[in-house]
Amino acid sequence: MSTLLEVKNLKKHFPLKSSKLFSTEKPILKAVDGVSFSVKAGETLGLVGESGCGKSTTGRSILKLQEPTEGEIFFKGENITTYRGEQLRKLRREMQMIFQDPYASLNPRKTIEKIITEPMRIFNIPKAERNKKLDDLLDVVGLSAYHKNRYPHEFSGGQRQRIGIARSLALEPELVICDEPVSALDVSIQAQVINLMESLQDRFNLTYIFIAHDLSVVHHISDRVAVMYLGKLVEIADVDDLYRSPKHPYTQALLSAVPEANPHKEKERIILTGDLPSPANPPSGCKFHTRCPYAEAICLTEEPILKNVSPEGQMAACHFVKEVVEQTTV
Amino acid sequence: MPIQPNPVPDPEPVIIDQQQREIKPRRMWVDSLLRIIKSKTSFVGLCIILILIITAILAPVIAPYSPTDQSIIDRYQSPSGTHWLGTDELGRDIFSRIIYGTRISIQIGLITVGISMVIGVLLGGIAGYFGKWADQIIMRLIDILMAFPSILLAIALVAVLGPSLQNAMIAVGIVGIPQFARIVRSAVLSVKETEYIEAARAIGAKHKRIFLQHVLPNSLAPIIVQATLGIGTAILDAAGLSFLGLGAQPPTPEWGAMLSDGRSALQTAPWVVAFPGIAIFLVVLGFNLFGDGLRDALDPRLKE
Repeated sequence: MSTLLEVKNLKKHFPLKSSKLFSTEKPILKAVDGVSFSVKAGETLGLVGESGCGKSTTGRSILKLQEPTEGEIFFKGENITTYRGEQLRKLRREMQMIFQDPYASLNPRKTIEKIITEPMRIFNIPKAERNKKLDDLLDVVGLSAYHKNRYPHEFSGGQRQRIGIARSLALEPELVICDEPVSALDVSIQAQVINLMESLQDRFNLTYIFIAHDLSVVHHISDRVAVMYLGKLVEIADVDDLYRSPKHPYTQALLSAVPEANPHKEKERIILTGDLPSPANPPSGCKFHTRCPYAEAICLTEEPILKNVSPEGQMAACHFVKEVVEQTTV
Repeated sequence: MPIQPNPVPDPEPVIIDQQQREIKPRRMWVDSLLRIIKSKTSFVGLCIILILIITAILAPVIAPYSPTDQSIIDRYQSPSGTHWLGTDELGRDIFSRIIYGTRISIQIGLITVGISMVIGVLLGGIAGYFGKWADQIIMRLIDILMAFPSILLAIALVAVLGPSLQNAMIAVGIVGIPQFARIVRSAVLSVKETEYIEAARAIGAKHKRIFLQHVLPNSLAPIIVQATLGIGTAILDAAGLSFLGLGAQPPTPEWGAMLSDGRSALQTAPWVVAFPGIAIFLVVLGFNLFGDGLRDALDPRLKE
């Protein structure tokens, strides 16, 4: 499989309003602070982490809905970081996004037909082809032709998300960034939408970056998973490796928090102490040291880099991977 | 902990029950209209406006005399069977003049608000949508415009352009720009942050399309309210200019000009001034009541 997308040292910083009057230094919120990963064509990369860890910002920066502060993005080997205007618009045909909130992501004043065909109208696809595509798309996402002339408020959350998915597929993109596409839906509907997305992936040969905080959903749909903490990647690995033997203490804590369906199964729950530090004022060294049970002196001063920790290509950013793994397996 | 195989069957075409089928598009406008009719005050406003429009259309049928025919013998007649609202200093029938005056007032209202709205929406929209320096420049200009008392600014503009009804409308139109610009700017600022605008950017829409098709239609409610309220103010301001001799020129049956003409005979023939005054009062009241009702009706928070 060839590499479709490569992100190198992506950073997105937001300047904040200074809290002190007349203060000249502006505090900076480092939402994404040096993230690197690559996505192969046809695979699904899950991106997980707590709220506010920068996963959505990463997704939006890749699509260039937000201008990255630093770093480079390569799509099909081309550096798209500097793309602007017309170049960027052309790129939209190949990269699309499914949004988190199906209630906010559809223009309430447009009919479903207008919403789904708008991408095609923007790229001047002839009317006949548009209409045919519209019917196909409605069929593919499980809606009927008679829904065409309705307005978004006449649909349920799940249906709206299907409309959003249809819109994002209208231009036949290769990469779809899914920004928590199911977190606003009921659990039963979540399963439907996830299954729909999986079948669409097979049918249209899509590559997904699947942003979520629900670990079971990510486990189900992803081929590889990247874990983010405070704007940094802390671990990235194949889904089975990561769920079987997490190497980073944060990943371990996250996975131990997933509810177990079997009540008799003994399970050790790792409880993290303290709150998520503010990304406007992150801790020094390893950003996780304030909550890490294994933290030592070096963690306070030196930031660990993401490095290979197993022959299968599992990568983690921790000074004490070996010790952590030993402790948990004993 | 893999999730179980999906117990829910894959999506069938969703069946919408009969009740949902009956929901029509454009529901919001129907809802709003119903709410206006339910509210007594705004319904009164709506009635006044409707009467005004009908009067303007049927003016030649309703008016018993020509609005400009003079008859010096009949000057300053008090209201009677032949002249319902009396006559003015040139013996013109006041009732007929007021009836024809509705045409001019509607014209003034629509044209001035049209001027304010087009320019105000454009400026406010650009300021809100693009932000940064465009916002700074436009809004500071608007601030300057707002620092003048409205009637003073209108007088200054007419003084430059020369007194005529047309120039009075342009002046009052310019005076009304700041209100529109500020309202549109704030509406655009809130719509701009919604996810569907981001979605439009993600599908490659250009600024023009995003602004005209996504931002503007969703900022429409406050614009409509301001336009309705603005018509009342515009009629009042234009009448003020005409009263000062800067607007409609004789013998145009404009209400403000009629007030001005009757001013000298206020003590002997109060009806010459009273009836045009009442007409202005009623029309402005009508638009204000309706505009207030519209504001409440279009407020999405009132949706049950």
